[in-house]
Amino acid sequence: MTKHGKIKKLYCRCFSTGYIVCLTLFLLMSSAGLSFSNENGEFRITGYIQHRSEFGLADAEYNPDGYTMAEFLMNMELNYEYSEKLIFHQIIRARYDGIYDWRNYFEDQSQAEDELKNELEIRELYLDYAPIEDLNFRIGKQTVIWGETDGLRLMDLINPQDLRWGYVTRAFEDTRTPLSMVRVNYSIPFLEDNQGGFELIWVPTEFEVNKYPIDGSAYAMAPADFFNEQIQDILAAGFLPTVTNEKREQDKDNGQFGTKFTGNIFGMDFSLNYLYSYSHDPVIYFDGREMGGVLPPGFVGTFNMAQRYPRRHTGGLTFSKAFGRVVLRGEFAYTFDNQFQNLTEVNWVEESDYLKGMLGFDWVYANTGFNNGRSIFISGQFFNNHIMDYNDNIVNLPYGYSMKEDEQIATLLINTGFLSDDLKPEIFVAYDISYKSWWINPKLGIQYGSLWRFEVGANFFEGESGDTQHVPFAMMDQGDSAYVQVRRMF
Amino acid sequence: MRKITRRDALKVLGATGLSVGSLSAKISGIDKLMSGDGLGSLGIGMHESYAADLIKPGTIINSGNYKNFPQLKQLFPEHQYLRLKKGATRSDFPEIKVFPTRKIQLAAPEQKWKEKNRGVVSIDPKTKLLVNWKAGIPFPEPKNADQVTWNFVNRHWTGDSWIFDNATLIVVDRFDRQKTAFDARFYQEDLKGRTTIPPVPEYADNPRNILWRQTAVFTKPYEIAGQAVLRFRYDSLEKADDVWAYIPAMRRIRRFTGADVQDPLFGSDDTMDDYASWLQKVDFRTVVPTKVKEGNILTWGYPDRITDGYTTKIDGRQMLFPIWEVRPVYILTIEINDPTYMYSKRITWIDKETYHGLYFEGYDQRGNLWRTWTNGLWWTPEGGHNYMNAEIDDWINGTKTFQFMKSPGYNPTFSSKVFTKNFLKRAGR
Repeated sequence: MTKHGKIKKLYCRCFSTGYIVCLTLFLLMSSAGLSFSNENGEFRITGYIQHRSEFGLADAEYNPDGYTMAEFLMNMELNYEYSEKLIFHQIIRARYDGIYDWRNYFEDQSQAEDELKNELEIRELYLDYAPIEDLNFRIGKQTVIWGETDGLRLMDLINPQDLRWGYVTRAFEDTRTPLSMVRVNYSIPFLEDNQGGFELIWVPTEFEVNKYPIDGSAYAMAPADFFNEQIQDILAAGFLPTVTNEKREQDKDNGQFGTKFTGNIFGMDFSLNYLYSYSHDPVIYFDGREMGGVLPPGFVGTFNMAQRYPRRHTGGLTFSKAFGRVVLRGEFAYTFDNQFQNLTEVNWVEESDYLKGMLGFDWVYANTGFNNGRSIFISGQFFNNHIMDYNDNIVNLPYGYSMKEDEQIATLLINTGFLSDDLKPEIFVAYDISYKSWWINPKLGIQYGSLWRFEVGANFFEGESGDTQHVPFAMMDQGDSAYVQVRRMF
Repeated sequence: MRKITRRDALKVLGATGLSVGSLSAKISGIDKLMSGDGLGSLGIGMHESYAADLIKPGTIINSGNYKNFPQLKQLFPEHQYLRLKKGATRSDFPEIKVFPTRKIQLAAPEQKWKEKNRGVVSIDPKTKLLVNWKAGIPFPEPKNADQVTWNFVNRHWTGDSWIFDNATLIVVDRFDRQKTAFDARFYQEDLKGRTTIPPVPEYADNPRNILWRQTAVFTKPYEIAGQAVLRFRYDSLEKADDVWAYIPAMRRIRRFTGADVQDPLFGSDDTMDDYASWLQKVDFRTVVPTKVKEGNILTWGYPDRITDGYTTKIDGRQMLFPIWEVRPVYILTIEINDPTYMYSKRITWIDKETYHGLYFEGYDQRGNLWRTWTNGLWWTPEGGHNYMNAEIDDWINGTKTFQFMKSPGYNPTFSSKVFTKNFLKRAGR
């Protein structure tokens, strides 16, 4: 047997084993969860097992066609309620993507396979402690979400994202990276009528950044080409480009702190937010040139660059108010001295305040004869990002396109239910007005009994080629995909 | 009024040929109810008139003999009557055992307020709002549909607040398969119209003029566990309900519109605006009481939560409710002049003694019967009543939802903090 044949056999075995293990788990988890209680509290295990198959619809250099994902995922939640005041919560997630045993879609997919084939993590682990009714501590690894937006994030800056298993196509619930932190919620007794309360967030040491699809995976991003010209010039001048990633260790200096005040006045919910954090995406600094040193032949020195994650102060405001069948909502996030990439600056970095805003509506439309009275939910959002001290040399990272002073995106979400919600069709459309690119995500949820959920859907991206080919939706122009998903809850 | 003794009950059952032993073996605690033990000492007696004139206690009704009782046509709403005939609907009635009708009285403080309101409370002819009302049933002897409507709206369940420790909803699909089941906890407190627990009749410090507030926390299954809904009902007609929901998948509280309360919960037939027959806000500009008549209904009786000690079960598409009583009712018709609302008309069979909705029909905007609710309530010797079962039939889609509610006794106590958004976050996962 050739070496290739042996490897193939091993792969097939692993693949089969993976399927058998997952199938066994399916069968074992035949009841709706597990719970028992005694005088020491109540213990409960719930969760789901899910299979998701994805298929690439366009063959391109970075986004293959055909079968691109064969994911088995188990999400198990363990809850122990010692008392009303003290509750422990844990989420364990295990993932196996069989696609790497199924096919090689790239010449070298070893990095992707190493990182993405198997995953086992304690996703969340925290305890809730409420010493008094108005006060609640949540301590441990957790996810905290601020803001009013759907689909895109403005004030939702606390947890970074892990997009390695799908660019924007996976639910935020699956892509946010939980952090170890302390969250304190306090309802202000004398403002109870106005739903007044504080939330404090403190992330003591953890440093996590956004993770993007990696080379050799189905969702790999085309490399930003804004940099190519500069690199060629550097090389031609005999300098070796070096890039250091200054991703920090877990340290108390990484601390993030945030506070939110919420309330309701004149029937309008609002929140005022402040977050001291760091950017989850790097900014590339030019750190100068050095002559000499140990260099490959033909080079006279090094051209030093560093990926840094700058600190930032962000203030925010959110609001929502119901008017009959419509809720109007808005969100604004203002980051002071946001660091942008500008290769014409000495250190390649330009600072400017950055204002991101969203205005949106949710409309519960009652079409009384359409589907036996089930309403149709229609939600629209308009986003505008404004660079306060704009310079037309500012470049977006990590995507690498020239930014505009104002960038707008509009989204529309429509969903409803048929046959007592056994069928739930939904469509989400995002249109990048500034760069004329689209993302369309139609899907159909199917409910079977209490425990089984099916979903079929697709993600279509459309964008112009040329300078704007690297804007978020356009860069996936060749990355259209369809998927089927089966979930068994327990 | 006469106490019905165990001997009387045995006589009645004997006349029907039913073995008392077999009945009591099936339904524990029923003999106590039949004998009226514990009722006489509390001054709770039986309504002989309903039992004697309409249908005799002890009668067993089934699909084979129902035509022998022509009076049943008057004792059932039309669609319920159809359920007596085997196969006429998809929800045939199980065998019905008629028990003596009992007099269910209001709790003493509520009775006191009701009497206090006699001749004092009136309805503003222009706005149709209550005048001089503070708490309690406003019209002890209602004369028209408007007055019955206000009595229904201002009834109490278990005092000034109520809890469902656990409510289980079981949904049956159009193919008679159990589709899903979910559990929830409910809390409600009245801030105005209070009769029992200080402050009476209302909270002095209620700047937003909240009439009542309600929280629901869904606990099972995994898919919805942690979802929690907070709803405020305001006294002002101009102020629509505020509704917030904590959505676990989003990890945040989302503002709902007033229309969200019209969508069925999680694929069931239960909408938040249908709780307890109806929770739709009464605004006489759009919710117009048009007709009321007095009558009787043969429906699930009021078991004594403390002593009857039985549980209800479901069999296919039927709720096996062991006690049926003839209850005196107001049959109230409400027209809804809002083409965007889920119903165009509601008809409610309102118990004359407790003012609870025993049976309810909702008609869609085309005038077709859409949903019906049959409600079962328990009572306590203190005079509290609360919902323990409901059977919701969707006559258009062919689905059905059963509800089983567990609740503590009269005037349950709990913290007002359950009506805060902070509580929603804590209850959520």
